[in-house]
This record gives sequence, structure tokens and C-alpha cells, in this order.
Amino acid sequence: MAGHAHSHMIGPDSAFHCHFGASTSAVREALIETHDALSSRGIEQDMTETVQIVLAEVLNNVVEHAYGEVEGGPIEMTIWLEPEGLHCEVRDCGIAMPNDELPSGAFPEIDKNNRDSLPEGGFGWAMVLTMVASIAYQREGGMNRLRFQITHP
Amino acid sequence: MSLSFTDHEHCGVVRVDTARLDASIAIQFKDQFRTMTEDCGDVILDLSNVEFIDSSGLGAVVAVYKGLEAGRVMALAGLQPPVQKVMTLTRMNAVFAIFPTLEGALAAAGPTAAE
Repeated sequence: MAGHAHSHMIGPDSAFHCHFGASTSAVREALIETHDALSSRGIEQDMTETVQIVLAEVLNNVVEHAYGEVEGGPIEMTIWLEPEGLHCEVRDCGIAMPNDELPSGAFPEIDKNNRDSLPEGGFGWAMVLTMVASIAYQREGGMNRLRFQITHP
Repeated sequence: MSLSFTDHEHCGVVRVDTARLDASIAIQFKDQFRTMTEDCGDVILDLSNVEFIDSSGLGAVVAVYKGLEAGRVMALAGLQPPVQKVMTLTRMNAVFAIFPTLEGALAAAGPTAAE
């Protein structure tokens, strides 16, 4: 079942925390909530947009691959601000990444003169890896933990 | 998720009337777009109301473009900064003619514009 995103902010300097049940519509709600929380805390627009693009790919990957389209699995995320930029952590209890490591992230080839060959997918991880300053994945105790950093433009 | 369609002299305009073109509506978008554009020739996809697109939304845009018969072109209009950012990052900005406004896209869509 698609859970509504719940979140709280304890104070202006504390982390933004959000947890919800896996579904693409719950991801959408969580992203809107994250965007509003970061905007209201005065995080610069460019970084707010970037973190939203990266989180969309990371969270939808959890929904579609870690939980394999079975809705409702727990997803938690925490976002906090450090001097150099935003730190994000996403945790879930779905299956591990293949080989317990991050996918490589090459953008798919594009031949604009060959319409039928244009890729309809395969952009997600390439977008993530291009936009983050650093990223780390850990599998431990049946849980996936992905941490990444978005620095100031 | 909703799309609206307007028929113009040289093309049809599909406007996305939802703020987020994402994984939760990608399939609906593809289905509605295909139904709306069956008979209209060239297409302008007006994204001026779209504040956010993810890779699934982008994939859906590419899919409907590929679904048009050869010879029918599709232009994009009204990209907001986060949408433009995703287009540029994925190099899809090289695939589509992109216009800042719908008016500009319509002006470019004439009887000689279709290749």
C-alpha cells in the first residue's frame, strides 16, 4: 500500500527526515515534501533542483528494483546540510544491488538521425553519478544504505 | 495526470497539464499522447506547466516520439530550468527541436518546417 510520506524537522539546523512505503506515487509525494522543506530552509534553488533529480532516480530505483514493484516496502531518507553542501542517505530493506555494488553509469548512446534506436531508459544512474560530488553504497544486515553528497554549484 | 490537445494549421499541440512528468504517470502519458495525436501530423509537446521530469518521464517523451510514423516531427516547447537540466544532461536536447515558448514553436511549424 502506498503510504503517505511522513516527515519532521526538529529545528533549523537539524536533518530533514522522511519515511514512506515503496510506490512511485509515494516517491512523488516525498520529493515534493523534500523540495518544500529545502526551499523553506533557504537552500539555493539550483541545489534543491539537483537533489530532487538525483533523489527521484535513487528512490524510483529502490521501488522498481530493490522492491521489484511490490509496493509498501519501507524507505527512509535523511538529508542534512554541511558547509560544503547537502548530504543524503537513503535506506531500504529490498534486495541488494547486483554484486553488492553501485551500477556503472554510462549514458546510453544517442544517434539523433536514427529515431528507432533512441534509448527510452538507462539514463537514471548516469544522471545520478554525474550530479553527485560523492556516493557510497553499503549492504549490511539485509539493508541497503546509499549515501551521496550534492555540493554548491 | 492530464494532457490537452489543440489542433493548429500545421501541427497538433499536446500540453501537459500536470506539474510532474515522472515514473508514476509515464504509462498514462504515453497512452493518452498516442490516442490524441493519431491524426494530427507534426506535434509540439508544450511542457510549460511541467516543473519536474525524471528519467521515466524523459523515457516516455522519447517513446512517444518513436511512436510517430517516420516523417512526423515532434518539437518541445516551454522547458522550465529543471526540465532543461535533465534534457541537457542526457543529451536529449540534441534530438528534439526545443523552443522557449509555444508561440516560437508554432511560428517555426509551417508547411516547410517538416522535413
